[in-house]
Amino acid sequence: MMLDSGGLPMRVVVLAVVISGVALGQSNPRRSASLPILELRLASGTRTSTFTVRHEQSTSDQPKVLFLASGNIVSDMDLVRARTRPAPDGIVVEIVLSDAAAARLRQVTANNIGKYLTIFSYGRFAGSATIMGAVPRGNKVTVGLTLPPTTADSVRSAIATRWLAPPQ
Amino acid sequence: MSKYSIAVAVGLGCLTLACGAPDVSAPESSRFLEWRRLGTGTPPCGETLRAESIARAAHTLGNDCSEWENREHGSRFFQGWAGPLIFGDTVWLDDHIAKVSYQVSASAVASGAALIGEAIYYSDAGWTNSSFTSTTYVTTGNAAASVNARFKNNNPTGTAVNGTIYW
Repeated sequence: MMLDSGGLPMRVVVLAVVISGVALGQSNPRRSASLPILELRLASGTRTSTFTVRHEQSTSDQPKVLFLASGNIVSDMDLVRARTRPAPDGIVVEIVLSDAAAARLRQVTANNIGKYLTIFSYGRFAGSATIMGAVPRGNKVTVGLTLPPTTADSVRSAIATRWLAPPQ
Repeated sequence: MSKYSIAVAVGLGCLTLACGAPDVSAPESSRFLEWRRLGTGTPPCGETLRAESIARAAHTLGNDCSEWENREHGSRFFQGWAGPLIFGDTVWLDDHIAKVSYQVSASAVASGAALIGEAIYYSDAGWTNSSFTSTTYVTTGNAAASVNARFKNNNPTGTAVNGTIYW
C-alpha cells in the first residue's frame, strides 16, 4: 500500500536495488578469486554445437575469432604442482597434472589435432596454441602465458603461494 | 710452510676420496648451481647437491632419479644414444603448450667423440630440425607439441649422450 501510493518509498526501494546491484557487480576481487589461476579450454576456428562461446583474440598466427567449448579440460584442481619463470611476453609455467587430468588432456589433444588449446588465467585470455600432437607424454607440460607485466607478477605470486614446493 | 701446504693437500685429497665424490668440486662461483633430485631412487631423491651441471651431478651420483629441478630455472636431465654416423633413437625432451623457449645442452660420454645433435620441434615456421654441437636455443611456435632430439657422432661404436633441457 505504501509503495503504491507513496511514490517516494518506491523510488527508495528502486534506488536501493540499483545500489546493491552495483555493489555486487563491483566485487571483482571476490569474483576473480573464484576464477581459476590457470585454465585450459579447447577451441575451434568454426562454430559448431560443441564450440559455441565466441572469443576474439589478437594472436597474429591464430584465428581472430575462436569458439570455445563450454567446459575446461584442465583447471586449478587438476594441478599437483607448478612452478614459473618470467618470459619476455609473460610467464612460463611448468605444471604437473594429476594422472586423470594428464590422461584427459592427452586424449583431448590426440582427438583434436588442428584445433586450439586456449589458456586463461583468472578468466583473462593468456594465449592459444594449435594442437599439433598429443600432450603430455607424462604428467608434466610447460605452458607459455602471454600476460602484461603487472598481471604476470601477480599470477606468478599466486602460483608460488599455492603450488610451489618449499626449498629443501 | 711447505710442509704445512703438503699436509693440507694430503688431507684434502684423503677427504675427497673418503667422500667418494671426485667429480663434484666445491662451489667456487655462481656457475655452480644447486640441484634437487625428484622422484624415487637410490640414494634417496630429494637430496640437494651443488654441481656445475646436471649431467655432471648425475654422473657422480647416478641417475636413478629421472627428474631434477634447479631453483634458478626449470631443467630436466636426459640421456640418449648417438649412433655412429647415423642418428640414434629420438629422445623426448619436453611437452609444451603455446610459445616456450628452451636451452638444450648435450655432451658425448665417450671421450673424443664429436657429437652432432638435432633438435626437432614445432616453430613459427612449422616442424623444424635444428642442428647443434653442444648447446642450442629453441623457441617453439604457438602450438601444443613435443620437443625431441636425436644424436649422431664420428665414433665407430657410437656413444651415450648426457643432456639437459632448460626452460
